[in-house]
Amino acid sequence: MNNLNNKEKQFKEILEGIEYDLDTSIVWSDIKSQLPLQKEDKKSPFWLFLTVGISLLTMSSFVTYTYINAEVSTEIVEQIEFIKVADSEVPQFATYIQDNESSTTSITETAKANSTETENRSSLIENNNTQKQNNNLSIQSTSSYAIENQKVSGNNFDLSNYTNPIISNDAKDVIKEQSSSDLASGLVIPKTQNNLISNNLLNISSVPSLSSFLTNTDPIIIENPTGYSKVIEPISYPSTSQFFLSMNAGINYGFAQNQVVNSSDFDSNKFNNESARIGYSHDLIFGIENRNGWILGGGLSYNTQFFNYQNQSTETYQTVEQGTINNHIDSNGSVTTTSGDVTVTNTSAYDLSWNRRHKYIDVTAMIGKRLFLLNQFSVVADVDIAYNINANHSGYYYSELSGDIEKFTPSDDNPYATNNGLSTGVGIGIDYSIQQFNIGLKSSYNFNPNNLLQDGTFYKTNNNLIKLQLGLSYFPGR
Amino acid sequence: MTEADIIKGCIKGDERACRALVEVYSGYIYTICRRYMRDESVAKDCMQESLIQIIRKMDMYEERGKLKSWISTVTVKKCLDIIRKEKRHISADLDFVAEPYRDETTSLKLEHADVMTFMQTLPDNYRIAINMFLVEGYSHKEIGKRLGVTESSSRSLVSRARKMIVESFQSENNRVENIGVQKKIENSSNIKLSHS
Repeated sequence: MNNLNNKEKQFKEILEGIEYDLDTSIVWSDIKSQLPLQKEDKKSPFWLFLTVGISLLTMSSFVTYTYINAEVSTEIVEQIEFIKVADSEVPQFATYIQDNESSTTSITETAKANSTETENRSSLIENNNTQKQNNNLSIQSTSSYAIENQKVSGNNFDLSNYTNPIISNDAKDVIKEQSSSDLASGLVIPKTQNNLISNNLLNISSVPSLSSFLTNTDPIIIENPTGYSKVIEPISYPSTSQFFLSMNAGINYGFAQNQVVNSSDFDSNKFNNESARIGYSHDLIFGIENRNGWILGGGLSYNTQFFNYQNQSTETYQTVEQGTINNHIDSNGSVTTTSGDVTVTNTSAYDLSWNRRHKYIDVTAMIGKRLFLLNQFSVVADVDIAYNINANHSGYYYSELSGDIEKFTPSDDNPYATNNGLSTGVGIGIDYSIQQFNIGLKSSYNFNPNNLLQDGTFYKTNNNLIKLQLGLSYFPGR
Repeated sequence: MTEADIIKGCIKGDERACRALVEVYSGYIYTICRRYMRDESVAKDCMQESLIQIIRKMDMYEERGKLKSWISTVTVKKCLDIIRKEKRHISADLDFVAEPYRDETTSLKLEHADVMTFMQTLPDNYRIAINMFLVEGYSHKEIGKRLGVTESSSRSLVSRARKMIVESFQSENNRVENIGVQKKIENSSNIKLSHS
């Protein structure tokens, strides 16, 4: 190869320099069916999977909790227990009956298990002025019947150590209407000075309407046809300030705007090829909520944003080059070639779909207010300020040099800023309270006035975010 | 998408990677095929088969060398396979390497068009020899191995092909000799390409 003469070298260079324009989209369509291509990977990103998983877990937990809580409530109704009655005992398992229609209130006590034993006892009660007929057990008014301890077992019910039990709205007790025929045995206890039963309690025999959930501030009692009841208590501001830890996970959508800032020949119409994609937003907030519903918090926010650049266009331009304009082949097969200027039509077909990804970790501080309390529901509004502490970019950027986009990886030099500065946000959400937890759905808008690109770049990009997140807050002191 | 991404993606069967390979290398592959094939449609078929084979066999590519060189090797081999299949029915003695027909009336310049015209009118064996020796840089031993001939036969073939180039093209401002090639000569000068 080293001993090639000039003519051979020229010949070699020409051969090596020959290029042909091909429509690669046609080539691709011709061979695609013959390639062992795997189906397009449509696996959802990890964070989408995690978000959906958390959402499903939260919902299933909520449903499960609600179902279990309903069963517990039915037990509460029927297991009002008298622990001790002066010198003698009254039968356990008493059920109160309230008669809202009349001023007379009676308490009937079932005495299935203890009926035989109780019959021999001399239970005493003050001011016993009513005796229910057909009861197996009657307590006479002549004795001094004092209730020392009255305990209502179950969630939210603990009247133990009450010397003078007051069954009222404040006690959040449950009253169930029940006919005497439902009782195996009964004990009629008259209304006494120290044994008050409020008439303010609502008794709803069917499932209440949604409006009643949202407007009543009293406890709502739901009684189903089987006789079981459930009490829904209104949420209230805490009596003291409470710390909380909140985790939010959800999706975001960016509103990016690209704009040429320096005099540049870059075709800004290329910006129109870009569109946002769904990203992910996750917050971890530690804070405190006071008795008036004011919330102060701070923590970390992690946002991943996606943008997609698509260009499926065709550009055609013409150039004039030296080429063969005529080949004359005579009868002997001799070829005579005439060279000259030839107009060459060049066609560039674009079929690009590139993604750009930004990851931001911000330190956030927020202030909020729990605005409305509607039974278990509450509405919270907040504003926040965030400072970027870490920014990571990959994908593509617009190149003034090439007039198009250039790809890059996080390790490559790129024009994006490594710190995104300060941004602000405003949000509103709805919370559902369950014991020590709040489950919430929150939407927020984050405004970032800063250019995402480094100073000196021929264009600038501003990006604002809208977020939709599911949240779970834990109040250890509730 | 980087070259490494393309390689990994093609091995996995990722559509984007395969398409990227087609976009980046199909022109290069087609150029090789056009140099080896006289007929344009056959060259396109060769390019497609080469692309399919390259993507299917990407897992056999060892990253010690350049991907482009490996693609060139696979494509040249595919070209030889196709030429061999087309000429299978023609049996010619390797030692019979006839001189191409020379026509004093034809003049060629060292320009793209004339070079391609020259290549396309050459008999297959000469065209293959010129391509493998001059452009791909194969040694006579490698050419002999690829063509299934002896090393000395390869030397003879390449020597004659080089002589043809020198004699057929005029210098920059001075036409020296003219050459014409006829197919009747081409058919009689085909060498037998054995399966390698």
